[in-house]
Amino acid sequence: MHTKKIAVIGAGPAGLGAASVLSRNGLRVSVFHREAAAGGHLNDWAWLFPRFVPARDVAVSMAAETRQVDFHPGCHIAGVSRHANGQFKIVMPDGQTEVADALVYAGGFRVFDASRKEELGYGIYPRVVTSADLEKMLAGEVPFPVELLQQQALRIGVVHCVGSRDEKSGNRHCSRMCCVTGVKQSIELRKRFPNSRVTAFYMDMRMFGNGYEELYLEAQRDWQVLFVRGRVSEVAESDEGRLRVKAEDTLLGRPIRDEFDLLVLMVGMEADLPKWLIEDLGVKQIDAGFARGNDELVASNRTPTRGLYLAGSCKGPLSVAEAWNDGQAAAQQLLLDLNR
Amino acid sequence: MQVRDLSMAGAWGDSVDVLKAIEPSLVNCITCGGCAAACAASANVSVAKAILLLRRGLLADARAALEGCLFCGKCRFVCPMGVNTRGVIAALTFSPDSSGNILHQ
Amino acid sequence: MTQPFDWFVIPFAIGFWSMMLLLVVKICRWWLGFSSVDKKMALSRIFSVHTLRALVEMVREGLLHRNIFRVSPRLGYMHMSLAMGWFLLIVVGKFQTLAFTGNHVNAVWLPIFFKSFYPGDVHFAGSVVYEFLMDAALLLVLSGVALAWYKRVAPSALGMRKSARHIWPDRVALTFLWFVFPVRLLSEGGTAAIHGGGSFLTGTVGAVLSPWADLLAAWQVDGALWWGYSIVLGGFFLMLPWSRYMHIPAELVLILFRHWGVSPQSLQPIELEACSRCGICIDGCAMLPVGNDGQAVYYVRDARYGYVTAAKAHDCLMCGSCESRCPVGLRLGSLRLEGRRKGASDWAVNPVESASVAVGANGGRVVYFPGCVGALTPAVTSAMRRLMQAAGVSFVEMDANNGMCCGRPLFLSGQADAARAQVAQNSQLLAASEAQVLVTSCPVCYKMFSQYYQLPITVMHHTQWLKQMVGDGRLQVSHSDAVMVYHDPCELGRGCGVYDEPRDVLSRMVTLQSSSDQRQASLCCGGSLGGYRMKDAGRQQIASHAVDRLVDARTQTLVTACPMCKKTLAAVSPVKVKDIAEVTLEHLVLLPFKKIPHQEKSLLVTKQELVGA
Repeated sequence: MHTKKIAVIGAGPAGLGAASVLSRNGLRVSVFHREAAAGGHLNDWAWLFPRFVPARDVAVSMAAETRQVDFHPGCHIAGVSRHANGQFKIVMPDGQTEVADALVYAGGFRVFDASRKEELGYGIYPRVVTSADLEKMLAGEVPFPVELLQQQALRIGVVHCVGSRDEKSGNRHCSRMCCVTGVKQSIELRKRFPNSRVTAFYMDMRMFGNGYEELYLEAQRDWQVLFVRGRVSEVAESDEGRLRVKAEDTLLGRPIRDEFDLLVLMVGMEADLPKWLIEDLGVKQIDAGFARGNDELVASNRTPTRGLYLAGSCKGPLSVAEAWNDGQAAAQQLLLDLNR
Repeated sequence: MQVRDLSMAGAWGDSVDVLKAIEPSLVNCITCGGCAAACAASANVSVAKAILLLRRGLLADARAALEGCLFCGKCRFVCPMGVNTRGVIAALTFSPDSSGNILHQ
Repeated sequence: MTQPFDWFVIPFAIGFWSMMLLLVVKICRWWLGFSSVDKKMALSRIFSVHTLRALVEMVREGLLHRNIFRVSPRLGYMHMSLAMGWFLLIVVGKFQTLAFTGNHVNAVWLPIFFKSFYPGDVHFAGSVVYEFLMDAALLLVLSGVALAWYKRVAPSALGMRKSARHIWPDRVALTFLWFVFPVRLLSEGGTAAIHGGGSFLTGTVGAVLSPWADLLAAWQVDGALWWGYSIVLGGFFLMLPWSRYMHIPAELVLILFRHWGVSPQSLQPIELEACSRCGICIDGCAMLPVGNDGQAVYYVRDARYGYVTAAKAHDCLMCGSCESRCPVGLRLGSLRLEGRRKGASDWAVNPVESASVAVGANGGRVVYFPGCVGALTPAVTSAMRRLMQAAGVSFVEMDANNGMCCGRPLFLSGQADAARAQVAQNSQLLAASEAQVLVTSCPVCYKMFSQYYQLPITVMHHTQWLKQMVGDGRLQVSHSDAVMVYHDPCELGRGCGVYDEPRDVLSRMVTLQSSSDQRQASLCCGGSLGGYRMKDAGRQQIASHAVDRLVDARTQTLVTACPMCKKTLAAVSPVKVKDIAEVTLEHLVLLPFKKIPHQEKSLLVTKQELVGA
């Protein structure tokens, strides 16, 4: 039996993935999580693509995979340093410290703050919402803008690539998940508001995962979602509170001026690395700000710092399944290195 | 409409290289069309289209895609990829012969 | 009395007469380039008070250099001592010669080489006084020369961060100039050593050299020195019309013609030659943080010699900082625009289909125009809409479809004809709207509508409108403990002189910090429409520099009044960037019993309908 103690920072899909493998291999595992409940961004989502599985169920089954761990909820790590003997000293917000022999960092990403794109009117016009807001509305946690429910023929616009592929916002990278999220949410909106019409403005539709392309087809075939290739450049509010949108249909080369009752911004994923990870533990970053493992191919979970492993979307946008698998992979890597 | 092959004589070459040297940011364009959508001038003006035409070596067509531009620079503020659209427009329209001197007197 | 002559005057005479000939040719060419209206205007003002005013300004700026004193007293003294000292040498020398010869007309070299022809103690009416004055003037010039040498080594000592780099005709002329007066001192000193005479300066040098008087006389050192003086002075005059020193006559001619009412367009060729390349404009240039070397001083120089390329003409943000600093008052923005205009190919604007102005059913009295880039800052425009409603102002929005442009960008790109066409189109639309007041949120639009349109309506920037509304009590605001700093947009501040209105409004609501880079000295954010070649990285560098200079540890919000400044500064600022309208809305005290009228129902007049009508 190992008596080594491992710290996992973050209890989203990747952190839980890592914790499950480590705990099942008999290691002493401490999981530090800034929120009260494990699950990470899963807790902000209602249903997951591509098969509309409740996100809650997924979070529960992931947590159920882990065995005995020492869970520290609501614990936003203040700093981590590495001793000469190879141990990590973890400083908790209350100043208490804990020591670990190895560390898996699974701190995840940050959702792009849409108010940074002022021209899209988020935070200014009440009927401009983000994909994250919409998920809460669909889950019933937050009400839809009241008037929407009373409208007969709703026009809903979906705007892709908000804060992704956007050099101006410092995010040249593609967030990968928002394309299929937009498709999923379009279908959900159509189910919720049968009289609605949904138009999605995209730059490129990147349907890379199993079942995504099928979902994209379903949205067009069964739910009459109209996909228009072109970026929304500006949003204004009409006297009636509707949203006037300017876009370009780039495939036809024609300008679009249209009005919508609701605009959903597909916000991207941004890097959100703590300072100590870079400055004190020497983790390198890619241009977009995400953490970089030793390479992108065979050692993406390893870092130049012995005993420090990276897991999940702290390295770049990942789906739930990918993050979970990556967390488990990081843990396997760690086990291999311990037994070496 | 004219049908053409894809031998693309001049694509990314010759005059286009000159323009690239003048305004290197034009290679960042992902033709999202935000510039055309925001355009205050006319439905026909499109920097994205001009850059697309440039990439295919169609210099004259690229210039035509900018006819009527008001140089207001809204496209520059909208462009997500940091293309200096006004630099592209200036390079294409103001001074095709940028090495030439403009005598002040 | 026959005029004295010696062969050593030849280099001086050649330089002097070639300069005079070229000056006459240049002035004639300038005159011929004037429009007939300008010529008539100038002729009509010759015998008028304008001429007197011009003379006063010539003394103030050409000799005393008051404007340079304002930049830096030491720099001002340097310019003043050179100009005033030399001027006194010429004037006093003239009278000295007159008093001695009794002739009003003398050989042009006589006053200059007076001590060579009449060495020693020559007595005539007032001779001691003249000698004293000549030495005093020489001392004044020499102090200026010493400072000029020092400035080359350490520009900061004279209040400048950067000194202008010069081209070879300037360097040659400068070298001659540096040696003219020291050599004169030595010539007069050497002559005094041999023959005696000279006042407190030249006499003293003579006394110091007197132990070697015999040696100096035997080797004819004084003659050699006078030859040297003639060569450097003649060399300087020869180079003057080809170098930056052309600014001396050109500035005087410029001042005269300005007072005689000649149009700015006609004066441009003179302005190009009236630049002294003092380099005062360099320190204020917004492009300095990105290492750009296209400052006004270099642009004007290249324009004068005909080496302006399109790149040089467009490599400028047109922020107006150089123009506000220029001690000669050159219209540097217009000179740059002229280069752009010359390089511009034919350009036509399409009739703008989507542009429209709403006409109020009861006569829309106030028209609000956010500006085309204003469409990208909805926080500002929606704040303005709410403020207008709160103030009880019934307004209509111009160009609700966001398809209108004021024409200033075309103008700034050198497309003057296309800009005029645009102005005509918009004027027609505005006339049809029967508006009385046009309020715009964009300083670029404000400058254009207020200075280049002939509109029978009041044009206001929203800072001015807010000042009026807050001043009248139609908008009531509270004071919070927020600490903010205000960034003057180039086009609003230097472009239109609107500095006080925003500060007045802001200081009623928040603690307004002041900064050394405000008002006239405001730094461009880098997002200016005037620049075409600025890369994003450069823009961010310029914006960061401006933010660093404005924001300190206490600052909570950076306030501005321009959609372009807001977008550009927000990209780099560590604190929140807001428009003054947003800040006003946050501090608005709602008056519960005030009746707020609804926005008037409006009908749209489009361009087509106007053309069709």
